Amino acid sequence: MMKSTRLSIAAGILLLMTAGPVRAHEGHAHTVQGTVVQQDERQMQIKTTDGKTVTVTLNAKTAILKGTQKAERTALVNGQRVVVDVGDGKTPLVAKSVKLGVVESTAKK
Amino acid sequence: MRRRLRTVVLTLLSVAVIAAVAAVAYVMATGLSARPTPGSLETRMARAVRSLAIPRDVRGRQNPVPASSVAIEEGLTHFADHCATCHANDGSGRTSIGQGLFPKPPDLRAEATQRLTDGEIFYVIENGVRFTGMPAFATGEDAGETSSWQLVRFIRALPRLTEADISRMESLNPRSPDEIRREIADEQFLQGGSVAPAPPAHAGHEGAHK
Repeated sequence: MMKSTRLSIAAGILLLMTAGPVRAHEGHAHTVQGTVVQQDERQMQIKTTDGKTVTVTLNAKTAILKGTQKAERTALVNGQRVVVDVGDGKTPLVAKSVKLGVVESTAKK
Repeated sequence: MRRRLRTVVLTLLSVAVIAAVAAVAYVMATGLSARPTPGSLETRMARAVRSLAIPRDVRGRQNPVPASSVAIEEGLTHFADHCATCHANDGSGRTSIGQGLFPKPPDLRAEATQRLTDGEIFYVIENGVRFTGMPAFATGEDAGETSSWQLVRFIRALPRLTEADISRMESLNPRSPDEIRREIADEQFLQGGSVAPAPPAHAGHEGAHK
């Protein structure tokens, strides 16, 4: 009984640690919603909608999407709103796809 | 003569009792759980029986839909909407629903499926497979048959599917109301709208939060 309680508490803490910018849960595709702070060929930093900054790896398989159409990697710029599919959400986060949105005018490009 | 008849009846009764005991033992040992993967002997036997069940004339049927990018595209669209929930977009069968079935859906890219004739694959799509999760998709109409033949074309193309094809299929997969709400919220965010609270998630079940 004690063991299962301890396990439940540990699982709860783990869940809280992984919650936040990466939403969803086991069995789902996880997404990160936020604004690009910094980006290069290999990764980008995103300020999420709840104010945290997360780093997401980009690779050759990452699909950059504008609407439903595929876009060039160069279309991704700082200050841009993005929704990133990070697969199972395990760290390090790797982007399966990046949906591009509007670029916020205050951001440095 | 009478003694011989008695021996035959006793033998048949013994076989029936043994079969019944074996069936009860199987039920009790497995709990009829769908979680395990069938053993190789069971798989081979099931495939042999399925092969036996497909009429010879159907087995030899040629695909009447000519091989073309249009036919494959039609098949891709249909597969993403009707089949991918269990078979996965890439045909691997690695989805939470697929992996929960008994037997698990086969990897459609693998030789066991690819070596089937077009007629055999068509028959399975149209008639399903009894005692598995594979339903029958026959509509009894020509248009339905054409769709099934297009699916056969697409299944043949599965081993050469690209990442772009899979991304396109993901946008065609069925969605729950929860997923649709999330998509709308994401789209509003991308277009500069305020952040809407994400709908509550349901623990442990398949579904893309995109």
